[in-house]
Amino acid sequence: MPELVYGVWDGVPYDNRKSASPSAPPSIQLSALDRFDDGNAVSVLMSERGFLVFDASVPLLWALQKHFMKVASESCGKCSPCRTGAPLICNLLNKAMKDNGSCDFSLLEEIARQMTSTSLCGVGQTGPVPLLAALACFPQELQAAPQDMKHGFYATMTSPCIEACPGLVNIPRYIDYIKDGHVDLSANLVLRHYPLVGSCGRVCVRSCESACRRAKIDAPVSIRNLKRFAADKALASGLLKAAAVPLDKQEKVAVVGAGPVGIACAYHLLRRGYPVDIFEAKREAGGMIRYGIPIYRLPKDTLQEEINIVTSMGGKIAFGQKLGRDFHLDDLFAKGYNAVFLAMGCPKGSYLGMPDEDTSLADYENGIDFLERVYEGVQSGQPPVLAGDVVVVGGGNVAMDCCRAAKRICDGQVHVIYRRTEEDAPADHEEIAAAKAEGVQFHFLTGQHSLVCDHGKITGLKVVDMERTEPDASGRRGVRAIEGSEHLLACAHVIAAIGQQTEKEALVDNDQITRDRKNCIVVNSAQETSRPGVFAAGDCTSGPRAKGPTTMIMGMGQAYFAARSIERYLSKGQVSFDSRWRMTELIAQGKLMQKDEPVAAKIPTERVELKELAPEDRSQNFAEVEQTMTQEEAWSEAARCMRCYRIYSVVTAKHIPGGE
Amino acid sequence: MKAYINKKAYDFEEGESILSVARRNGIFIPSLCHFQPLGHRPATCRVCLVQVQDANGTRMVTACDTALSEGLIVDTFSKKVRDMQRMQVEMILADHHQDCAACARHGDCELQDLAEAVGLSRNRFADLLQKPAAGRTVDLSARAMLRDMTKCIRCLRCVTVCRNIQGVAALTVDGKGLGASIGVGMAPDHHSSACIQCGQCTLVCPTGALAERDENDTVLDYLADPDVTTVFSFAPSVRVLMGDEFGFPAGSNVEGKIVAALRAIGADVIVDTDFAADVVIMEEGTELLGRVSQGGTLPMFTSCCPGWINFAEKHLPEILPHISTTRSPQAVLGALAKSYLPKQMQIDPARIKTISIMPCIAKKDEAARAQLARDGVPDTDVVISVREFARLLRRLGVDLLNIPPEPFDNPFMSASTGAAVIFGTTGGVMEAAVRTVYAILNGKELQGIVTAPLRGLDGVRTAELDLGPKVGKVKIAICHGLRNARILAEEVLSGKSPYTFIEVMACPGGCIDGGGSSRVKGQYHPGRVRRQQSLYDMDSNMVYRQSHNNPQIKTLYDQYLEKPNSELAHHLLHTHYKDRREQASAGIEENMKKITLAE
Repeated sequence: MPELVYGVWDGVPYDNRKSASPSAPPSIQLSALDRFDDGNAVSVLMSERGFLVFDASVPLLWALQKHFMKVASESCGKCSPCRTGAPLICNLLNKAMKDNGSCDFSLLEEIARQMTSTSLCGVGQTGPVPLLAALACFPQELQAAPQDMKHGFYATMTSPCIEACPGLVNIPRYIDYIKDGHVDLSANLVLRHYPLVGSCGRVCVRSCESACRRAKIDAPVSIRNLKRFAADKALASGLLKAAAVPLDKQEKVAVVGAGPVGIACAYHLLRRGYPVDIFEAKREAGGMIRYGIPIYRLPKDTLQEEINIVTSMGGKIAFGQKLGRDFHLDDLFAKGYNAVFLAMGCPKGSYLGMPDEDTSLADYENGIDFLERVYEGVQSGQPPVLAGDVVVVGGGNVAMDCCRAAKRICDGQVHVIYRRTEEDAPADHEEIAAAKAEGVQFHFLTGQHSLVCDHGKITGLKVVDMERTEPDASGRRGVRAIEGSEHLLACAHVIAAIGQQTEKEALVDNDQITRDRKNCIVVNSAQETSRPGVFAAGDCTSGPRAKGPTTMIMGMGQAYFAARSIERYLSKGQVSFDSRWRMTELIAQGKLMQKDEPVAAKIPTERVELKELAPEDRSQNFAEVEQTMTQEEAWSEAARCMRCYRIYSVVTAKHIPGGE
Repeated sequence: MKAYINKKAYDFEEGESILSVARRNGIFIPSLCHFQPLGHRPATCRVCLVQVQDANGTRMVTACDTALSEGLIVDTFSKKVRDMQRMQVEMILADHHQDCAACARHGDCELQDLAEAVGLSRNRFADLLQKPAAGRTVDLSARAMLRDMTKCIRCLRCVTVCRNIQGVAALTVDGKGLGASIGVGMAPDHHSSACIQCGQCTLVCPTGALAERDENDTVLDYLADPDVTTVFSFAPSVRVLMGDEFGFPAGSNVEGKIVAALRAIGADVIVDTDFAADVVIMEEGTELLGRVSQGGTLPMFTSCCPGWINFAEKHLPEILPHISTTRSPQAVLGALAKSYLPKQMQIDPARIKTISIMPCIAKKDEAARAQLARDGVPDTDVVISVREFARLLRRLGVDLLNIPPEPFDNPFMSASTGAAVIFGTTGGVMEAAVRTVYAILNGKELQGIVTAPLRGLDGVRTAELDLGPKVGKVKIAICHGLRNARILAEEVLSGKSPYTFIEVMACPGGCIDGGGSSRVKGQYHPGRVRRQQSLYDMDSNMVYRQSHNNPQIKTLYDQYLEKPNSELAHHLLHTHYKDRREQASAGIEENMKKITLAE
């Protein structure tokens, strides 16, 4: 645990230099700050809440100047106090560094105060906080003119929405680009992180919107739909038909799986000039978002155009090539690939596991198989037809995809049963609302009991009522079956949408890839597997970011970091350290980001909701339900973003890889 | 709901800003970026600071974007508030071009007004920042206007007018930090950008950052050159606009005073763009009838407005075959002033310089079009806006207010009609065309003359007109503001347009609110209604109300052009258009380089 020497946090000064009983800010987890990278202690931390010094030998003035240079470099320049104030403060701090006496510290303080109390966004409102804290509580520490410093320094600008996004996409910046009239740069900024901008803009689970502080005024910014707007515009203007980057690197990479994770990783490597071959088990690329997400949510021409970015950059996709069936990991190295990226996903759907259930029954399907069957049917122009009623079991997004797809091809009633409450359902609640609008009947607090068959045909599902248990010690409430409440839900089809699994045959022990008990590949935060040169991400992996099946954005976020690791592995022979990701870990583990600070009393403005096809116009076909925003709507929605930026920086004992 | 401003209680509605409640009650809070007429509230200048106090304590907020809440105590006037407002203006000025006297907006600048309002007495930061504005773009590539970002204060009013009023959205916000300013998208420069140079942004810019290109020195050079014969002309709307610049009530007709002023500054020949407007009606009306009878491309759009032509060429080139080939009145006048006029007056056409006074700045760009020049010599040599003409008169010591009016006296190109005069307002071209087209078709004048549905200021106006037995009933449409024009044009391209003839004026209101018209600080087109009425009144009082009845028009065709759409008329008075749509996106990797954010 690092020892705090002095500092100011949330306005409270701490000075343990002469104190017999050292104190530290209670709201943060100091133990998380003991080092930044291996063997490299954190000497100073600066953020929107203040600064903490762990090594008294670091001149505070030097650290503050470094921090402020970052603030000034990120000032967008729209509002006056930050645009002019930030460079003014930089100039004054530079003066103080060169010739301490020549700096007018009272003017410095006046400008910094003007900047924090009158700036439009988080950069100006929070950037000078450490400086003002030091001026107020430790002015004597700013008197020494520091010499050349050998310390490491790393700073990043982030925000609650960015930290909530597994891909760390700079959301306020892409929203700003829409507001600024540069919609192509907006899409391009997301293209830094992954190529499937329009696809993610349609189906992302948007953790960012849950973190959006605008919710405290009216409603979260419609972040995902703005991204879709930018992507749709960019697609139309030809942005995605990019000129190929010369693939001039000698080392080549094999990617296993052409789902969103494999495509994203391939894209990043191609951008850096590495030749990439992708091996895909199925006949088309896109993985779960092609086969698993129904066309009414994600039109496949959008997906295909985005996948084409990778092939137009020189990436090659070999179809019908399944790991463990058609080739093994060793074959790839034998063919001369210098690194392998595994992203096979979890292509197998789970069944319900009821006593004596017969998974060979034609009308008892898992959700993954069902959605694939529907996809193939719709694409070929002959969607399957379900006769009679359908019961879908599950409360996640796959269950919603199943019930809404079933509704479109079924001549009877579609039911969803879920063992917990509606509030507990992990599905996007807008999806639940859409399914209800289309006529799907929901039965919450209802569990499956057993299949009822007659001559090999399903005639119903016996279900049982559930009730909530009292909260346990952690406040969580479970559910339990109410004895004797079993009753029959008559139906002709049952679809199990409760989870998915890896393909067991993909890897063999010979491959030297460590897996967990669910057969997921174990990876570290660099997305390395146990075998050197083999990296993995997405549903088929278990690591510090996610364990097992996960969201598309989480998988693509992992792919981004995996590609950075592969690049380092191929160029430097070792997977070193990623300072940007480390900063995110530090913020999360140290509980550094403020959560409940009040927001300004902005004038409420309405969140733009996408126009949808009316339920009666959509529930019998697979036309895209949500219509993209108009340009005017996009401008007005983008204007709702408050740019809750804040800048985090560390001074470390020695140089940080990737830092200054 | 109630809140307290400067210790007095005021009622307000939920969601109202402090600034709007203060203004409603006559409490002054200095502000800069806020632009009420367009509902524009970017909250970037941060000048409208006030102190508020509630249960959460005391803090400074900007009045424009902070909602009043029940019981809130607002102070707009304390020393702390005034000091912080003043410091904000000091910061804005530090980042601004420092040479006020060399700016066209000197004395007419909202930033100067603001400095006065906050009592600015020192400028501590300009030296400390060392010419921060110097790194920003000064783009002189556009023919009509300049984009001097050293003077930009990032109020973003221009962006809003370009998007919300014109639907052009050519202006973007580029760069960051001290380099942040108004850009023109991905285009290499202003001229080649999506900007159509309508100049509506120059009417709302609080400083000289976006302004007309001042060409008065060229005019003065012509006036001073003894070998040059200057031919001055001015547009229909100019006679109801110029008064504003000299203290007349909005809409005053100062035609005679303008003629007198031009004589006073030494103009050799003074002709009237009204005359050319009548020629346009003869040509365009005949062209329309030709398209109707010969199955030509319909509906036909008017072609007088250069902002509209630029918009069509840059944004909707598919519509170009629908636009009348008839030149604009300015271009018609230029062509005749260098062919017909010298023949009639027996002067050397090579010595003639045509000087056009316009309510418009896009006319400067039009004058420079290659299609409107002969052997490399433009038909219109220089165009000055109403604002420049007022400046020219001030430079030459001519006071329009006190100069006695004089009539036109050129016997060839100065007679006007009511039809020509109303060209200055939205709907006027259509109304003038209807009068003449009806007469050509039916051999008699349209009864009632004034066509009521064509008048007024609604953004899109439509009507069904009975043109008599030959053609029957036709549907026509009139629009102003390019946002509306886009809607009608897209309807045409979709094949669903029911109209035969569509009038477009790019500026809202038409030429009476052109991008080169008088500017009133903090307001947007305040004189529109009175200017329009004034043109209608002039029409009513004219001896001739129809273009074909203008005696000088009869002479022009009898003695020179033979008939409308004749070969010579085609050669002199018609033009063609070019697809100038911006190139598609530069592609992913090129754009990556333009992203201003550390990866």
